[in-house]
Formats: sequence, structure tokens, C-alpha cells
Amino acid sequence: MKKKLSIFVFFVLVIGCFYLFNYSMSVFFENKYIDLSGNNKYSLSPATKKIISELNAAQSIKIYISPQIAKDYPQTAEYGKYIAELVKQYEKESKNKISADIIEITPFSQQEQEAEQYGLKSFVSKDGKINLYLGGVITNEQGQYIAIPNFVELRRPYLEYDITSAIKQLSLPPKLAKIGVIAPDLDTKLNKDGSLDLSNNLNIFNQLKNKYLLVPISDYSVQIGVNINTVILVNPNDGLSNVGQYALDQFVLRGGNLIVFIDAVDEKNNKQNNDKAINKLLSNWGIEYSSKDTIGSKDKAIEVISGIKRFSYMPWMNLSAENFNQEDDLTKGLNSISLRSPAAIKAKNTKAEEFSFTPLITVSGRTGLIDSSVAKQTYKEVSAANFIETNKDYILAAEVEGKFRSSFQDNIMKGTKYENQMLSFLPQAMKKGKIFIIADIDFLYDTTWSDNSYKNKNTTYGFVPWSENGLLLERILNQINGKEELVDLSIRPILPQDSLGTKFKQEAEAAFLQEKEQKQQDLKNCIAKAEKINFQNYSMGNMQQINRLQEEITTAEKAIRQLDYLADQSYKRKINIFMGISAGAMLLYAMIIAIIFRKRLKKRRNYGENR
Amino acid sequence: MNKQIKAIFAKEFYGYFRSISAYFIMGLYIALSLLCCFVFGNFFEIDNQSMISFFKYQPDILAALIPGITMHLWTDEYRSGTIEFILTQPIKYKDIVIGKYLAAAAFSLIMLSMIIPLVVVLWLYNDINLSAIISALVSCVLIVLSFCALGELVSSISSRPVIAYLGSLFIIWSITMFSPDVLSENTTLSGLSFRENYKNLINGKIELSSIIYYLSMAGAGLWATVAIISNRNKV
Repeated sequence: MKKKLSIFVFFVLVIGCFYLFNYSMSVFFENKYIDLSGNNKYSLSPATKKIISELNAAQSIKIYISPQIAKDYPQTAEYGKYIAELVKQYEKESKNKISADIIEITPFSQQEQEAEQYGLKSFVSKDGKINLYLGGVITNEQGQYIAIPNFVELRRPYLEYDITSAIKQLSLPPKLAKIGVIAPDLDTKLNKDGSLDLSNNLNIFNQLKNKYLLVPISDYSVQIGVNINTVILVNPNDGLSNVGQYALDQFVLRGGNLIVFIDAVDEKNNKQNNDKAINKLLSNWGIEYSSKDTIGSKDKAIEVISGIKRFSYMPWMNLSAENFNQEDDLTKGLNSISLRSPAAIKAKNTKAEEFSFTPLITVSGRTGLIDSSVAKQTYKEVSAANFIETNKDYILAAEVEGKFRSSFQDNIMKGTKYENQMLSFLPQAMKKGKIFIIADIDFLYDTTWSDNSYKNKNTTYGFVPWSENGLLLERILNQINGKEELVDLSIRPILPQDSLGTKFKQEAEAAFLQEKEQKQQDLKNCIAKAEKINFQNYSMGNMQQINRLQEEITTAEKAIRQLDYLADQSYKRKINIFMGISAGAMLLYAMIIAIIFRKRLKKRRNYGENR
Repeated sequence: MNKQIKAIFAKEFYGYFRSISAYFIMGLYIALSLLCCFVFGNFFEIDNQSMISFFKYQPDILAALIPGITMHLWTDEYRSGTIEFILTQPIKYKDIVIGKYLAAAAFSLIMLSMIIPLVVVLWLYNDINLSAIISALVSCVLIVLSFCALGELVSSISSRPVIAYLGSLFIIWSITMFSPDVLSENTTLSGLSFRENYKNLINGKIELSSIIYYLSMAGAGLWATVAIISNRNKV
């Protein structure tokens, strides 16, 4: 009995020592690790490291987390843990210039009040009794702060971007860079401070106003202020006067940066765009654009519902990584851009010096055109029926740089009383001008990337991760305004790659795709023929035709089902082959190991017997 | 490694290949791993560049199989009566314990290496995240080292292989399931959880504290085995 007791005590002591030792080790070696995740999930990117190493003043990151989350929402708690580990990396890499605090919020406490004051968003516990928090606040020494109201797991790829851009923002002098906005078609109103209030129109401006001072410029302004280095021109259409064109021409020649949004069909207003007003300037800048045709893609089309029908609408596209220029910093690493009925742009001959034309977004594969006068109509089904497949590559966004010549002969105000108040006319560029052109205005309107619920809040949020339209625009502005590090910040993909099963499925379906499309076309033709038949006519000929068509439709439907079945069988066969090869390879390996060691064992035996 | 350890290691290690049970365990490991990977691990449904479906169930598979490898380490000596002979030889107890332990660990690692052909096949078909796979393999090696030590400890207590197997299974299973952080909301305690450490490692985060965790488990197991063996001899 005594012996058993002593063994028991011995084991309790060993276990106790084991846990005590490991507890102290986990505290002592906290955040000492090697990141082998493959996508540097547990390390900060070089861009973040650069930004935080250049910080002149201290900042603090506070992460507010309710411990109850672990019980109610384990997955969110997991994410919270990851965030806590990541912000500790900020502290470590900044050599303590940034302090990272994890604040556990107990219900109805002072910390909860503090979180509320910062504008953190709460969510209710499962029993509905308390509010839970998982948010963050970044503050600088002056007491300015930027909050991340709640860490939504959907935004996980942007977590580092959100935190680092807030740090960068708080490290800059309080004076915001001025961005001019010319938007003839939009309802513009001024805020009390003279800045632009476009909140009713475009969420993107809500997002940008924390970082830039948006200044409205009339399209009748003859000159753009010298303190503005960037102008965003939205949908010039008919609204861009000759005077406005002159102002933009001279602005670019003086080295200004211009971001132009043009379109084929303006979906918001259901109208075909007019390309005449802007084309004079664009062709001078080496850009060819026509609003006559709307670009679409069968591969990238999104599904729409028209009446009771659901179908792929080619001009509405969700573009993915392969559509973006991965060589260019602006589009590198982007995963999703959403466009609606864009136009195409091309490079054209220009007299500009040091001219460069860099495509940013291109669509290729099963692409095609729809006449914009057809595409503008509300009945998407009719538009889709007019899609003409061309299988060409189309450029939908580009960056143009060069020393351009003026489109004008002389100062447009020459001889008037305004001439003396204006900057002198430049026939030739004094500096290189940069033009970013995006051939879709709905790029800005699209609500899939911008969340209006964060409107008027001092947060880094607003962009949601279904699409990265806003991120691209922000990257362009960051690059122009000397925040290149933010452009370099990588987005961490969390969306898993396609599974092997998906790959097998695609391969299996691809083998039957052509045949299936042919059968679907046959079916469509039969249905089209059937729709033309007069069912009130009971003549023999008509009845025979109806019967024949019915037969053809049944045959085509059966053939499609058969092709689906064959594709499914092929998919299952591929899976079985893979599993068979894997098991076979493992068994073969095991046999080789067994044979090797059996032989060595035999040798040892012989050696022992000989001795 | 000194001569005594080498001799004991060789005797025990080749001993595995003398009986059918070793081949049975290897076959079972392949069958269980493939079953868990392809059937329960949704191998074809999720992104498996880092073979997460395969590694997800490895602690459970190893917890079931390693006691089978370690159960004979000391029980055979007790049953055949060779324990007195071994312990009265001019060999240190720790050398005997380490020799036997290394044999069991080496055999288990050979069994674990069965994953190599699967990695190669997957690589032929798809992209793989090699660094994450290496990280997960490191975690499996650490698990093998700690489980073998615990298995040897239980084997040194009992003279019946079945009891040694069940005892090891129970202890290893309890350790893998026990998470100290359920006792408190203190997040630091999660570092003491077996699963938590394993999860970090298979996700590609090789934490120093996790490595220490598994190695200290192995060290504690071996030290306790030496203490039990030397205590038994005194009695």
C-alpha cells in the first residue's frame, strides 16, 4: 500500500513539475518561433517592418477582447488569438516604439466603456446577456486614434494592411494631402470645412476622407490649384466643358496625376456613355477609348436573376488574380475586382516623350462584345443574347506616363481679363504626368467592396473583402502621395486554393465541355423553334413538327444529362486512381523498408552464428 | 552513443522485424492514415497543399499505435525473467532505458516515413506547401518521441503487454485530450495544451515553447522510467 502511494505521489510530482516547467517556458519564450507556414502567416511583411522601423514617435495598439468569446464563438476566439500574436510582432519589430496591449473586457467594466467610446462594435453573447468585443484601437502620442471596430474574419487577408495603414496614417503630419474631384454627374455638396461631401454617391469617398482632403472642382474651372497633385475625374461624359479640358491638359503637363473613370454603359443611370468630351484629351495622352462596345467575358461573368431566370451576364464580371498585372505594384497580389459593363482601352500613337502604357487589368479567354446601345437596357437577358464572342484580350485599366504635348494651341482664356490671373500656357510638359485610367465608372459604385455601415466613423474599415475595387484606388493614391510602403503591403490570401477534388472535377468536366455546349446550343435552338410555333394550329404538319421538336428536346436533354453523368464518373475514376496510387506507393515503400531491414536482420543472425 | 546503448538499441530495433506484429502495425498505420485522410479528413474537398487532412488525425493514430510498439519493451523482460539478468549487467539503467527508447522511436519514425510516398504522389498531381509539410512532420516526430517515452514508462510498470498497451493508451489519450486552459480563461495556459501546440506546429508555426513541451514530455517519461527501474532493482 505504501509503495503504491509513493508511486502515485511520484507521478503527481512528475506531472506537476512538467506543467510548471512548461508554463514558465511558454511565458519565457513567448513569441519565439520560426514561421514555416509558407505564406508567412505568422510574420510581418517587409513593408510593415519598414514602416514601423521609420516611426519617430511612439504609438500603441490596444486589442479589446471579451474572454467569453472563447466559449460562445470558438472560431472568432481563434482569430482573436492570431491577432494578439500578430500585434505582439509589431511590438517586437518596432523595438518597443509600438506598445501592444491585449485588454480583456469584463462585462459592464470601465474597459467596456472605453471600448464603446472608441466606437468599437459589440456583438451579443449566445445567451444574449452581455456584449462581446473583438476590436482594436491604434493611438499616437497626440491622442489621435484610428479604431478597427471589430475584427471580422472575412477581412483576415487585410488584417496587416488595416493595422499598418492606421499606424502610417497616425505617423504622418495632421495636414491631409489634397485630392481634387471632378464629377459632373454626381450630386456634390460641400461640408462646413470646404471639403467635399459625396457620401450620398460613392462610399469610396467616405473611405478616403480620413486620409485625404477631397476638394471639389467644377468641370468649368479653368485652372486646377497648384496645391493639388491629384485629380479624380469621374464620368466626364457631356459634362466636361472645353474650359475643363484645358484645365486638365495643363494640370497633366505640369506633372499632375490624373485618375480617370470612363465607361461604356453607366449602370447606375442606365445610359450609354459619351466618349467625345474626353477623347480629345485621351488620344493626346496615347489612349484610345470608345464607348460603342461593352466588354464581357463568359469565364468571368457573374450570375444574375432576371424575372425567374438565373443566368451568367457577361458584361458584369468578377475578375481574379490572372486578370491583374502581377508585375505592377498597384495590382500585384490583388484577388478580386468587380466591374459592370466596362469599355476597352488601347494604347495609340502619341507625340509624347518618355511615353509608357502599362495595362493594369486585362480580360482574356472567352471574351466578347455587346453593342452599348443594347447593353444599356434593363433586360439583361436580351443584352446577353446579343453577346458576340471574339476571344480577344481587352485592357480595362491602364497606367500611362509621359511628357505630353498640349491639346490646345494657346491659352484658352487669351485676350480675356482672366488671362493674367492664370498660370502661363504650357505647350509642352515640364514634368512627366501620370494618368490612371479605369474603363468602368461602376467600379466606384459597386457596393460589394464598400460597407456603408462604417460611414462617418474614424476607422480603417469600410472596404469589405468580396471585392478589392476600393483597395486598388487607395493603392493608386498611396503611390502618388509617397506612401509606397502601403502599396507594397501584401494581402494575405486566406481563401484556400482549389482542392484536388475541384481540380479533378474541372478536368473531368472540361473533357465533355465542348460536347455539352454543343448539346445545350441544340436544346436552345429547339426551344427557340418551339417558341415560334403556333400551338392553336391543329394541322397535321404543325402537329408533326411539334412532335419532332418535342423528341429533339427530350433527346438533347437526355444527352446533356448523360454528359453530366459521364463527367461525374470520370471525376470519381480520377479520385479512385489517386487513392489507389497513394496507397500503392505507401505499401510499396513499406515493403521496401521491410525487405531492407529483414536482410539486415539476416546478416546480423549470420554474423552471430559465424561468431 | 556508447556501445551499451548501441547494443541494446540494435537488439530491440531488429527485434521488431523478427515478429509479424511490426508489419501488422505498419500496415495498420498506412490503412488508418489513408482512411482518416481520404474519408474523415475531406481530402478532396479542402485545400490540401499542406496535407492538413493527413496530419489532422496523426495524434490520434499515433496514440493508438505507439503503445503497440512500446508495450513489449519491458513487459517481455519481466515475463521471460531476463529483467534480473539485464539489471545485474555492468550497464547503467539509463543506458538500458535510452537504448530501448531509441529502438521504439526509430521504428516509429520509420513508420511515420510512410508519408513520403504520399507527399510525392500529391506533388505530382498538385502544388504542395513543402515548408508547412516539413513543419507538420517535425510536430509528428516530436509526438513520436514523447509518446514512445510515455509508452516505455507504462511498460516498465506492468508485466503484461495488454495492460501496458491499455495503460499507455489511456495516459497518452488523457494527455492529448487534457487542455489546462479549461481551468482558467488565462490564455497563457493554452500553451500547456497538447492539441494547441500540435495545431500551431501543423499550421507552420514552430514555436520554441512547443518544441520544449514535447521534448520535456519525452524527458520526463524517460526520467520516470529510469527512476522506476532503479527503484525496482533496489526492492
